[in-house]
Amino acid sequence: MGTTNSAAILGELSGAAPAARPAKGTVAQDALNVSAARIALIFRVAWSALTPALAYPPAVAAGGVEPWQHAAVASTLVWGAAYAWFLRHGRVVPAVTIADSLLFCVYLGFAPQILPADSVGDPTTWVVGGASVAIFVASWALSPAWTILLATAESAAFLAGVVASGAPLIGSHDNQAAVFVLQGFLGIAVMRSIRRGARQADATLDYVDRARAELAVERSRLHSRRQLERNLHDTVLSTLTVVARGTLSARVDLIRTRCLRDLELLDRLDHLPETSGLFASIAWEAGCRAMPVHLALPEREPALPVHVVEAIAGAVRESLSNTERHSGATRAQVVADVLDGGVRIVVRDDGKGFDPAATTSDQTGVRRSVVERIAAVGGRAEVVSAPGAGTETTLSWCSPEAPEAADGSRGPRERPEPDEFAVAAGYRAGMFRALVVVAVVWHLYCGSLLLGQREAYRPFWLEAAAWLTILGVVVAVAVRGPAEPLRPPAMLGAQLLVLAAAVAAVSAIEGSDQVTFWINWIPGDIGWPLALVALHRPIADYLGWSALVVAVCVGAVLVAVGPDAEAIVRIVSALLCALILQLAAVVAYGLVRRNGALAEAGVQEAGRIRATRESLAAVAGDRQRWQRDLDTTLRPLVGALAHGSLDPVDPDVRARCAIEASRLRAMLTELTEAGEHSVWRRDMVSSLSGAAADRSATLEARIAPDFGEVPEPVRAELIAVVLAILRMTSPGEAVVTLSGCTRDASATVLLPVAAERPAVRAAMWTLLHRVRAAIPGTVSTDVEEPGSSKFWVEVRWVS
Amino acid sequence: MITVAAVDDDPLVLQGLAAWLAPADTGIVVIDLAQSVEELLRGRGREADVVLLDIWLGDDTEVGDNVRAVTAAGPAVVTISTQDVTDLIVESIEAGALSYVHKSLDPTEIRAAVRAAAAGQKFMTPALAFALRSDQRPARPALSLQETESLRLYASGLRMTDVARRLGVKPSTAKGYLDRVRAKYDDAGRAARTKLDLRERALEDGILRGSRSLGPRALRRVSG
Repeated sequence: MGTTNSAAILGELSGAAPAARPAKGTVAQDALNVSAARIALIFRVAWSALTPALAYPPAVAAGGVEPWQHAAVASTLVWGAAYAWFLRHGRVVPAVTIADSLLFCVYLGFAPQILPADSVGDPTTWVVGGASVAIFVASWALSPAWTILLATAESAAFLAGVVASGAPLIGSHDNQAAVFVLQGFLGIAVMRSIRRGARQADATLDYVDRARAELAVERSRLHSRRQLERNLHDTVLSTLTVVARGTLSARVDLIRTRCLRDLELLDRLDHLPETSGLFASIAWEAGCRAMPVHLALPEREPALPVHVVEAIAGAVRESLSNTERHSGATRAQVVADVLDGGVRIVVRDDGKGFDPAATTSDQTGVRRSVVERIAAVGGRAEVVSAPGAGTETTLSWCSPEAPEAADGSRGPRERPEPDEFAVAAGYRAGMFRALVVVAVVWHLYCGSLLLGQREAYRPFWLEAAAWLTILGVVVAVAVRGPAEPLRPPAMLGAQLLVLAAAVAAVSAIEGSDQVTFWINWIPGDIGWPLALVALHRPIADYLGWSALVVAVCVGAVLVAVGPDAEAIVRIVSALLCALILQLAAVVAYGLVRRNGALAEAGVQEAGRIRATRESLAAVAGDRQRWQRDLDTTLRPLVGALAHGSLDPVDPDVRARCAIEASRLRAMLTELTEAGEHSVWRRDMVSSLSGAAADRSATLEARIAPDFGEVPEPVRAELIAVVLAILRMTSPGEAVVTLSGCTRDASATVLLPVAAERPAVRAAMWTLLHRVRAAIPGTVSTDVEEPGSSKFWVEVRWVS
Repeated sequence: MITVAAVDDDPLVLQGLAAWLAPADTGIVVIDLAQSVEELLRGRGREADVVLLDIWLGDDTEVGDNVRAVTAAGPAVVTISTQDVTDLIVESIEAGALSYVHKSLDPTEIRAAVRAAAAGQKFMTPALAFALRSDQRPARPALSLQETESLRLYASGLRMTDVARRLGVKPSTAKGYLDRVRAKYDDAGRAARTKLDLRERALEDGILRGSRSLGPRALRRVSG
């Protein structure tokens, strides 16, 4: 093939393409990492920005701001900006996270220098809050061991600061040291559950991806089959119709030639590819063509990923289709070579070719469909053509990794299908358990504080009752389990109960000490039960309840102390410090939920794909049955016409052709463009045309698209009565019309009846009488006799 | 004498068509046979009164475009096929074909459709009635209950008089129902055609103006 004019180097896309399909999906985990970085950024920057507001009022109230305090606040602001710069790529940086924790260790250790003297050891200072943020961020970005190490370092630094300020090591301040470690453990627990969720989501998405690729292969194969069957319409059906008309009695030679060609086409129906191997698929695609395609394919199938096989086979199909439709070629050739870890395929034709410099939209369209298919899997396509010189398309694909890696991505069926319940429930249960553990542990910790300072509450029984009420709510929700969220009234009741307990607990605190953490345990504790109860609700719900808690605490301070700015700032910073981890947990849960939704959508799609594949399998099975039908009736007829053992001029032969044409037509009508069809419709059409054929009649079946909506028992009775009526037909043309919807349906048959009309009429009425009794609902039947040789029968049903 | 040309991608079908469709005493004469619309419009076929157009030519052309191309050149169009494909039939009717007939063994119906088309009249066949009844596009014209029912009965093979009797109306009324359905589809098709023409003109000229191609066909619609 002379290719004087070459053009169209079409592999530009291939450079970027291999990366587009990673071997193993990490979509959810990547998304989680991005979210983690974003959340860390927001928390750190927000805390840095808040620092001046939290640091200066207590310092001013304590009698003036020291230079070291200015330096500390300024350094926090600078660190916030630097942190934002380090995380500008949207990824957490472990070294920066460690530096963040260590910086706050330094602040805690030098607390006597950067905090007012009486604030050292106070859990409501900006330094302690900032350290909590550092621990929380560490639990997201680092391994559990690192998180605990850093949390312990914060504790040690805190105690060092306390000792440096002259306070005793053992006393009321050691509580906060324990709190840092506790926060570390809680952060780890929450993060583990989220990471597991993300891994599960990725596994699900991975599975869906592969299932989709396999579905594409199956669909493509069915599509090719559809093309072949469409060819039946243009060939066998057309031939039979012409023979039946008897217009070609003078040109029996033409009919024989045509039948020989048609017979070849029928033979090809038998050769479905049995494996999804590339060469088998190519051989099958080539066999679907009306023109002869010469194949030169190696014996051994190359080891290629399924999606690559699908893409290459699809590109070959498009190339051949292009050749057939546009080039006017009389034959084509497909040559394949197995390369090291890849394959090269050349499709040539001897057609009229085209000038690549002046392509029409048709040609560019086809070229795109060939080129993009290949480029999408990281291969190359090159089209070389010139006017009068035919066209040569070269498709090549090489594994981006070692050949065994390509092997490894085969066999997707080994992996079990994800179970929707397991995935969705797994997410919810993980987070639920984490929250229950956190809530109970924290509540018990608060209980120990409570018992240790009994004298601070008056009456103590009210405080104890509030504590027990909250514990009761947590336990009740925990016992109910993650699968069954509370119903809205019960949920509202639980939330109000928790809030009422909080109000009671705050009101029982003696005197003006509400701002002190050790006595006022409510800000630190209350968020967990609220988060737990609101687990299945939007985050806004939880935020609303948290705002109420803030209002209660600030209100209590206002009542007890009056509008004292210092007291307000202290309780607000206490709330911020306490709520920060709760907020983090709830935001984390938002992420879990998103992963859960992602996975649930994936699982649903997997279900849909499974259903589609099952229906495709059913369709494929049906086609094979149909093919056996063709083998028993159609093929012998075409064969006999081809070999001259039947005379196409003979009226009996013509009648047989008419009947076979009507059967073939009825079946082809039931095919859709996509190559899928309803099996029951094909079954129905097959039995109807078979019944007519048994009586030497042709059938014109007009089945409305909505007939499928008719309830199954009614439909079955209607079809049965139509079949029974068709058995009374004389030779000629029968017309069956079926239509209906969920509420009404009608079946009519127009049939030729040449002899014994009274007997047929009587038999018909017996039949109709029976069907009236068999179908529930209102059934009306009617018989007309239009003309002397026909009957028209109608059965109507209204529910 | 009515002159007819036929377009079918299968040469075998065209071979004996003249003898089968138009024997000497039918008043119909086949003047041209072509395998594509392009070929038809190049030859004598463009002078025919009626063109019998296969609905599913294997050359990647759309039936709507084919019908428009032929009617723009002059002849009336009757579409024809071995296999009733609802979408294609409706498309051809909306594009301006006067009738659709099924390629049956008996040429009587085709002759009747050809005679009606030569007189510029639409002709309803059972296959066409069924296609209009089965049209499920969202943009399909809304049909009344009586219209739907008359389509169903006509599609089931009853004669117009029997359809009328079953509906309890005069035959002229029953025919009126079917005519109204056709008129609705003509309106839908005309709207689509007008939009299409305007768009094509706009693409060619860069402006939206009344187009030449609207003229003769719009006139024919009014009189038909």
